[in-house]
Amino acid sequence: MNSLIDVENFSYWYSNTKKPALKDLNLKINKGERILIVGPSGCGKSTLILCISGLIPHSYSIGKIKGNITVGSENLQSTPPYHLKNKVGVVLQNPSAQLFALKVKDEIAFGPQNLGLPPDEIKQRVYFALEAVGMEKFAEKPLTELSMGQQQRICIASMLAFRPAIMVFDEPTSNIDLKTSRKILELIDQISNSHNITVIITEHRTKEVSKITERVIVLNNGEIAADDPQILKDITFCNKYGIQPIGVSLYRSLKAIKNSPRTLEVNNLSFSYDGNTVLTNVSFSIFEKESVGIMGDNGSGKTTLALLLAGILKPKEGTIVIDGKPIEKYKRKETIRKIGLLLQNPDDNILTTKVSNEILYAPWIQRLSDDEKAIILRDILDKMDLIEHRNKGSFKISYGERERVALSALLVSKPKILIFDEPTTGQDYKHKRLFINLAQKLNETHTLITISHDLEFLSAISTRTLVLDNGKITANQVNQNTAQNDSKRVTTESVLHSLVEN
Amino acid sequence: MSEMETEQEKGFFSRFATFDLVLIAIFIGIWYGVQQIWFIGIAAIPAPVSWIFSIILYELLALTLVMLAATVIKKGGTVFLIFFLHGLLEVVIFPNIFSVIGLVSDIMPGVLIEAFFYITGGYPNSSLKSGIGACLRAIVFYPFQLLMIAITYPEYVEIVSFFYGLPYGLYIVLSVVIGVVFGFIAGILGYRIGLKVKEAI
Amino acid sequence: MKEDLNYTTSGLDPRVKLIASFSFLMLITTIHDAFILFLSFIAVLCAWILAKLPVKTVVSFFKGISLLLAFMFISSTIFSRVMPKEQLMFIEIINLPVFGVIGIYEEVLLATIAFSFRTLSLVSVALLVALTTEPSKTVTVLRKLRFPYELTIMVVIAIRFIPLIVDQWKKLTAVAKVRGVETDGIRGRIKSIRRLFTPLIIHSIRRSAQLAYSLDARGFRSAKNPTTMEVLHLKRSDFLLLIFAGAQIALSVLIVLGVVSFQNFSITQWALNSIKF
Repeated sequence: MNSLIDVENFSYWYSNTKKPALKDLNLKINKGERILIVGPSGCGKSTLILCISGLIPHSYSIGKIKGNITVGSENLQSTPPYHLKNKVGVVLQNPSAQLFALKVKDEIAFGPQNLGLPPDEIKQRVYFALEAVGMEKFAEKPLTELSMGQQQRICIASMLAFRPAIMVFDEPTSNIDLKTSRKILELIDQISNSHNITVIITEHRTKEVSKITERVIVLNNGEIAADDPQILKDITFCNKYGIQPIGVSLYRSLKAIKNSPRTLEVNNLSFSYDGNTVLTNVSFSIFEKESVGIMGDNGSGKTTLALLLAGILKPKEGTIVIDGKPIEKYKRKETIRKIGLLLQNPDDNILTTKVSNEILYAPWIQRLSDDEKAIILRDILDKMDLIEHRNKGSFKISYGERERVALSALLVSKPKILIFDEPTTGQDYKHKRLFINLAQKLNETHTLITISHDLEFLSAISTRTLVLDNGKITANQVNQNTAQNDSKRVTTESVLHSLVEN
Repeated sequence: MSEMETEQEKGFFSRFATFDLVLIAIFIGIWYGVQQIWFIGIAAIPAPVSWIFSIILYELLALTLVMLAATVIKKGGTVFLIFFLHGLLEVVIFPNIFSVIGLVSDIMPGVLIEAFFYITGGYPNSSLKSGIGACLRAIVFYPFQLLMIAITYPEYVEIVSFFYGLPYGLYIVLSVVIGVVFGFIAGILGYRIGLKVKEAI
Repeated sequence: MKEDLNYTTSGLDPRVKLIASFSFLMLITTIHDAFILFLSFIAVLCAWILAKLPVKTVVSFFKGISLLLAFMFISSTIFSRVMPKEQLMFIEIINLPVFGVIGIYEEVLLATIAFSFRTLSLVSVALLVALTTEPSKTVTVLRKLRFPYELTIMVVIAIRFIPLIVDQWKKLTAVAKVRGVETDGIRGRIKSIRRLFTPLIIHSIRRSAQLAYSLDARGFRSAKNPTTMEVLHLKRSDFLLLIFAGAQIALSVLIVLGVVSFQNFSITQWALNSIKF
């Protein structure tokens, strides 16, 4: 049988690099297959996505290609993906970065318009695509009113408007919480079945995605290390390549702290924004050197709570007391020694152009002497394994390295309480585990508050969990073996249920 | 059937990669976004919808033409022509009534233009050249712009004479001087920002 | 940006509305009579009422502009150094040693009133058009006007990204605060603009790359003549408006040529006189 996609001896070099991002790849993909591509950061997954979707060379044309990719009987290097008989649609990582129009229907019509189709046919395709993703009622809605999950659906719909034979997804669930991710993956499954679309997905969340794919390919250093549907059950292999194996959980047993003083006290905290109430009557306490997790669905108010605790937003009602003193009474430079926040996306935490400048930002603001700064820098570079990157440009390093830089920049102010907002976004398995180790080490000297929708991750690093639902605390329980049977428990209600059960 | 396999796009925009076009659009967004941030704090006046819409339209047109001209002309002292085009468009489509405020706020587009040039094309190649280029704009187009305003809005001349107690001609000269100073600063700032950005990415 | 405005879509074609606004602009620029300009402003207000625009929007808009207008009005009237040709009436306010007598000339006052109403009318018409046209029709309108396709998409991107950029700015400010930068207050605001401008540009560049891929993946700039989904049809009401616009253009041309003229202040004098008695 002739394969649909034929990658032949394919290599790709980014401009001015000696080492190829993809090396002599040989891959055959048949019609109707659903493939998961995994691998550690830097293995070439994203490059492969860009090449198979035709973005290299038709959108990004700098760099060197060797070899061929054929789709159907057409060469992908010479024909753009939307002109092929077997069109290729691609959905990249961050949904909101791919949408530009003002209304949903305009976004979806964009593709067909570029094909020069007549207005009636464009309308037909727009409604077909909206129906396929279950968003028929959203045609006239402005894009700003959509949630992340809905935006992701619109990205998918705008590709479906091409009636593609192949859809390629680059980490489609990395910015979305678990519950919505499952819905998106179900959607991909359904679309693939009803419209006979061949699907290629790269992901770190192996457990979820492998439910809808039949074939698993492991990539490492630009080469295929394995092509075996059962590979994810091979724990040794997976650990070697930094992939999360199926059936292994991150859970570890942690010691709960005893008898330490209250360090953070929140009383009847309420907050609203633009007329919407975000938090209502939130009250809880956190003790020194505790590690607390805060769980909740998207929109439950988690990030707002984090911003309030860090003194970035001012509460409308209620008080936040740190070490006995209300937060408003602290001067800015005192606050940062008490509590610090790391935003969800490490890139959002970067303010300068060089790694060393980034890490020394707070000391620079405080006008420390050059000697003091040098000592601080050396110390933290060593601790966070960043010495070789000290003079590099802030975005010239990998994602995991950027996260360590952002964390270092936070730690130099030595805040007693650290708040992490969704620290595992976009992280591969290896780095998730590294982060857990790091968090445990930090917990010896700091109090930790971790916001995450990832129940399994939270249970690995925190001893108590608060659940936030629509701006209200609905649970505040010490964790007891919560991760072991977690495969079906994803909603807030079921978390509450499981916490109460124990 | 697809009738355009590898058809070369012949047009003004063929010189620009899609990335450049998106970047220009986002820069315009930055320009108005930052103004909105500033105004929301200071005066709590939300920018009227029509204002945003019409200004984005003409600014985009102007800015794109400027950059187009730059890529055509490529370098050197013809920068003045570039800014003349920009000024021309600005004046013809939307007379800048509050040109006093405009002179200062013009730093931002100047900065963005220079930063864009540096980031995408590596031109100009020194902060001095960048500064001189930007201030040529003041010398060439401010007189033109202010004269056009005087014709379309004669009352403006009176307002000016109240503000400064100066004859209008002298006001034009002063505007040019201030424009040169701010333009120069804008050029240098833009170049520096471009350098830093390249260092980071 | 106020995306939650309820746009009352009038059935009128946006191109026709634009043409009508321009013709209106032409006409009132040629008229200098205060009373007629006042009437034209009333006419625009009537159009507002017909368009059923939400009162909140109208009020907030006028609040914003009134301060500015009031300032210009007062300064123009009192401090004008242009001596009117006939001193119709003079109200003295104060006699200063160096500057001489400062007061209000009736003529100057009327000229300022004329100017204010002209500005108000212009701005109101612009707002009227903007609020009654869906922004997403922007693309269709611009395409029909043969505006270059790339520029059309760029306009949409720019409008769409403004709130996203404001969000990104808030995030950067939060990080700066966490590192000890005081960003509140006027000084803080100036400091933060200085410090955070470069990171904002860097983030925007990274965003541009992602969006560029997405656009290219959907065939942006691959076709010579991209089509549009919406088709604009001209209706009877559009034709009526076009005729009205044509009349305005014709009238303004006649005024400029001197064929028709409103003697400065004559109609206004008549109106004032009738009020006095």
